Amino acid sequence: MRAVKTFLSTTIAGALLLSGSVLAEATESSQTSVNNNIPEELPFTVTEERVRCASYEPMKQPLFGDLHVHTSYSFDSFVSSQRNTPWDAYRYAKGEAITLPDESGDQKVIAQIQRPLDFTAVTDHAEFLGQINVCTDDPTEPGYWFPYCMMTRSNTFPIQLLAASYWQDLGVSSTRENRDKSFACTLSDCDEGQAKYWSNIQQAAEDHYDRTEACNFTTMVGYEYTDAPQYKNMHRNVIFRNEKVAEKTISTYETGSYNYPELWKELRKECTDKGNGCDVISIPHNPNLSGGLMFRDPLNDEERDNRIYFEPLVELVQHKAASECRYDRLAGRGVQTQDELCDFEQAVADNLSMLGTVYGKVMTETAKPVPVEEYAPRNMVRNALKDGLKLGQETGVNPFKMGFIGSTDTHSATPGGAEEDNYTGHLGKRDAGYRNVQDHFFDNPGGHAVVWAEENSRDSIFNALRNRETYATSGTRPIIRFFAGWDFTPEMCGSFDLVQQGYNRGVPMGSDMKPRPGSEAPTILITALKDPGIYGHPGTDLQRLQVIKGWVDENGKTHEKVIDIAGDPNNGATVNKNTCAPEGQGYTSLCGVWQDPEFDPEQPAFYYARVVENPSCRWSTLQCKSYGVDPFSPQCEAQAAEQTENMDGMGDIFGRCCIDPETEPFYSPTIQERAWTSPVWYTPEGKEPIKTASTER
Amino acid sequence: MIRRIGRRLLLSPLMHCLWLGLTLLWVTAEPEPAPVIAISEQQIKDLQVQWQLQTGRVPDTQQTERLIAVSIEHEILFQEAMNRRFDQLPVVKTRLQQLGGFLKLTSGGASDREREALKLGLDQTDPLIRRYLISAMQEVIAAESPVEEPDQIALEAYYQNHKEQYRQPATVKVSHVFFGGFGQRALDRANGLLSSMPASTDEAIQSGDPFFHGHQLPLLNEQQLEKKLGQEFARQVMTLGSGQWHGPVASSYGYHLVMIEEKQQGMYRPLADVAENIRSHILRDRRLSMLDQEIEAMKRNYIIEIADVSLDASTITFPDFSRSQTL
Repeated sequence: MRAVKTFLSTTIAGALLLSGSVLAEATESSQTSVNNNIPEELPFTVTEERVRCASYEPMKQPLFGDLHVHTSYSFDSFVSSQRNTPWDAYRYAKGEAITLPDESGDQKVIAQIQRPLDFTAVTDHAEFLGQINVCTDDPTEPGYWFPYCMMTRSNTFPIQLLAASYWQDLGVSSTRENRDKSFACTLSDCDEGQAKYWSNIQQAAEDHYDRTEACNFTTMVGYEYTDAPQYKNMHRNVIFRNEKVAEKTISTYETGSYNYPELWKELRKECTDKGNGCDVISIPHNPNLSGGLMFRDPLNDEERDNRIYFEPLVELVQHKAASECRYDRLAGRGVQTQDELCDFEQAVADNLSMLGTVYGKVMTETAKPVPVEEYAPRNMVRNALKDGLKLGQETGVNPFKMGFIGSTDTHSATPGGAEEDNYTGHLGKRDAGYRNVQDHFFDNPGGHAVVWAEENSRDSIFNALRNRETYATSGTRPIIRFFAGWDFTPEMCGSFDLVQQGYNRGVPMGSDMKPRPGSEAPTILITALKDPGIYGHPGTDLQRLQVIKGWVDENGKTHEKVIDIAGDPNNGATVNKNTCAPEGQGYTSLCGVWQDPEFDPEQPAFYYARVVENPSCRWSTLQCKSYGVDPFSPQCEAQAAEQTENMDGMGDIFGRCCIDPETEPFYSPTIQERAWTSPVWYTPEGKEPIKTASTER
Repeated sequence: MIRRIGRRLLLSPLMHCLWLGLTLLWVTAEPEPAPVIAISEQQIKDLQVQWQLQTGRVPDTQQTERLIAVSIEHEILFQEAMNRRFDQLPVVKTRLQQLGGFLKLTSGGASDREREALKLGLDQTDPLIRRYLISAMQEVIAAESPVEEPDQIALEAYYQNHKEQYRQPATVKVSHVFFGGFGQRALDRANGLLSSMPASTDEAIQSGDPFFHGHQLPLLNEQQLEKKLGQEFARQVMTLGSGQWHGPVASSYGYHLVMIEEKQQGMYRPLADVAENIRSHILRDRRLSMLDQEIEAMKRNYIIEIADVSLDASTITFPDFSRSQTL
């Protein structure tokens, strides 16, 4: 072991410049244990010292994780009486119980996940002051009601002036002593205070990373870059490959606002250009709340290349809604789509003010619903992917080639707490207990990041993230394989080496298709196993497999199509309205091979899979019912009034439980949980992406 | 001679000045008074109102006492942080500039905005700045007060108390033949094959249905196995002996005939392997209790005056935002 360590430390800088396999091979030969599955030459670069896993799987295994987790280190978590630290978050992810605040802020709620995760990154806000938009972020905090905050929320200039003069008077009329200045803030003191958090975050990750060959749990060091000018969300989670990380977090304090390209420049300087084994990606989340700002046309080549290099993924689903696509049931149309399944877990607003509900009332003007025609199309990832094809056609480089993950964005230190039937809220006391259905009814428990990795180690997982061999789920755990090739046949579904064939003859999710050999059209192979569930609660059956195709025609117009390729959308499955138990049959597994009948070799395209489960009860339905308010009952409103009367909370508590889905564009008491695989991309011959030095390291 | 010089010194006007000055200094110079943290009746009411705003409930006496204690602790940390000029940190300056921008007080640049915000005392009242300074101070105190490294005895004691944490569960390597569905037919097929099992594993596997998760799994523990095939299946398989076909065992997907290819017993990781992890745990615990002690000690440097009023909040009129107009 010592020899290996010396070897690693002396050669790591040089070795990283060489092909990864050289280092991998050398490390392997001295560490290989009982597992004869481990190849001589690893498919990923080894950048850290650890043993390989006993469960190493050359054909890869699905690992379930959460890459978006806040603890008390985040201001908005702390002010919600949430006191768990990064260490506690990792304990929760591994299946231990932690204590959360109840709706009064008393530390009384025991929270425990039913199935531990395989990997987790704690991503507290780097801006340790918390989010700049605190004025609208937490209406239950006194800070929200500070005059300058109220003024900030107000768009009326006279009110702004009034508030300003109030503060002016207060500030000028009060006399303040000059403070003792003898204790100067020596540099070391101040820096220490700031750096301490970052080092704690790293220490917690190290303490919980399983470096033994059991490989039970992997942690990743990360943080959230939090830019949201005027509540327009351009947040990104920065995830490091290993323990070699940037010395200081790069936050909006370093880059300024409206300036995320500067984050990438700084990450190059502080990490990937250092040659010390540091590697990093940034994962944007909630484009649905970005007011159209998340995926802008790159302003220059550097921005484009850095986006491609640092952002191979997007967080497609989380606590503050899904961002795949948007269909308004009431309007009968969507945002560049007619896909009716796109009414799933949407936020009505298009910015972060959507969190500003307190005691059942929406407190901010900017949280109002945004009509279909005013909604920025690229807030939805499917539209951004289509526009990426178009930009690729115009400029030779597609800047929006993103794979998918899900996560929770919990602010309650509950990574993986995405279970509809075990949802303790994600915002501390603000959505604890009854307040969840009162103030956060349209939020949801979030989803999972699933990676196809050879083993549960940082290098293997990070490699999968970079290669986009990932999929997102809305919180359940179906297992999805996806391959694209040119000669797949339906018989493959019956073959015992289907996965091997998929890799040999095609490419997995997240890849570029292999060059077209003849005059065939692309063939897609998808397999899905339903969520195996937990003891006494088998997962919900599958309903169908879908392929989603996006393309751009010769006139530069973008198109999309959704095709059911296996299963049965009309299988009649439903839920028992009393018990929420599933009723009717679905599928425990599905397999389908599909060939694109409309393929035009001149048109760039992408394909991804969506796997849809049978209906199940939404979390809110389960929680409303637990308070004696039944969303399915004709007496719902009477029950809600009665139960609200019984509580000593403020405002209308249970009214939302009885919302009629006919009157809301996106809400329904039952949902269809789902998974989305990363796409594969087809680029016409001769139009292959230009590879620049900065996108290909 | 010496006496003469001494006498002359005693009488010299210069010396008189000096004596007089020293005496005056002694008379007037009292030790610098300890800073006072006063919690007024109004502040207590404010705390109670804030609590009610946040929770929808009226705080009882005990809760009010706790609110006061926390607010004193925060005030001490805040003042200590200000004494050390933490308000000069770039994050604080940036925040002040932003606040100045919100207020539209000046059309000037960043430093003007900061100055205007300072004029309003926002460095003292802004909740974000306060919270930041308080927690930065906590971290600095913890960093400044080194705690003792745990010795071997402490490591051993912690190890024994948390041994379950260091258990490596048993693992099995499984081959299986899969029969899809839960009908009688699948069960019959499984039993049929079991009664006339082919000699080669490959042949056996191909006598069943394809399983998308593979038929020969790597070494997995119970938890890893249940993620693939469900809890009932995993629990049952962990009890099976190796070297022969078992089954049919039901999973979330159908029936399986199962062969345990290899089995590794569970064990506790030795202390030497986990010592570094334990060390970090103990140091963290010690730092936390050190922080509490340090704050307690700081408290003694302050004069704390709490208004002598009833902490019963039931007579206060609370604002009711639930029925007021929204913004």
